[in-house]
Amino acid sequence: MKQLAEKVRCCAVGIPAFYSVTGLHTLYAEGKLPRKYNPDGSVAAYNKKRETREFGGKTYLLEESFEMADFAWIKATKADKMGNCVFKGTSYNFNAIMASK
Amino acid sequence: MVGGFGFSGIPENTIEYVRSQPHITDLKIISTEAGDDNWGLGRLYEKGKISKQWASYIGRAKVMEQAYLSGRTELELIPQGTVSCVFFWYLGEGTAADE
Repeated sequence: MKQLAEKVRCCAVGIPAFYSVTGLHTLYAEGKLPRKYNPDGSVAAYNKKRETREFGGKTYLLEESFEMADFAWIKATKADKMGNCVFKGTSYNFNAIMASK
Repeated sequence: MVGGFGFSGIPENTIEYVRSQPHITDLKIISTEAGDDNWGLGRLYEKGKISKQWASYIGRAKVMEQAYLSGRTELELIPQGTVSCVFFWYLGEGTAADE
């Protein structure tokens, strides 16, 4: 979950990309994962190939942050009109970082 | 961006409201998963309102699977990750630390 959460968090704080080992040596990293299919079942587009770089002898993938979203749909226990939210229990999960975008 | 993980913490009231608005279509959604056939974002897939999603897991949502495989929806799968490691910072750009 950290990968998606980090892409959201980085978008919120203005970091355009980050390095991660997640997805290394997979079809995801090689840009061979179907992103969109044609109605006849053939592949219309693949995902973007990730750049790699070595740090301390280990290889990492460059993962770009999300673009800023127009809206964040948030579930909170309490909220005010200023946008302050109180979360409860497991609903804290993605709601807190998405609320801070 | 839509919060929640599994059925926990999803904004179900917002989803139901959007589902009831015929003029809201072509949504591009960032959310960790696509819900179920009759709960969560699956409710919007059922109406064909989502044209693209960034997600980590689509396992239970048959309506989403059908939308993806038939080309109605674009899907960017994001692997479920561990901890991110090194960042590109712009804070020190152009300073002695950068050079």
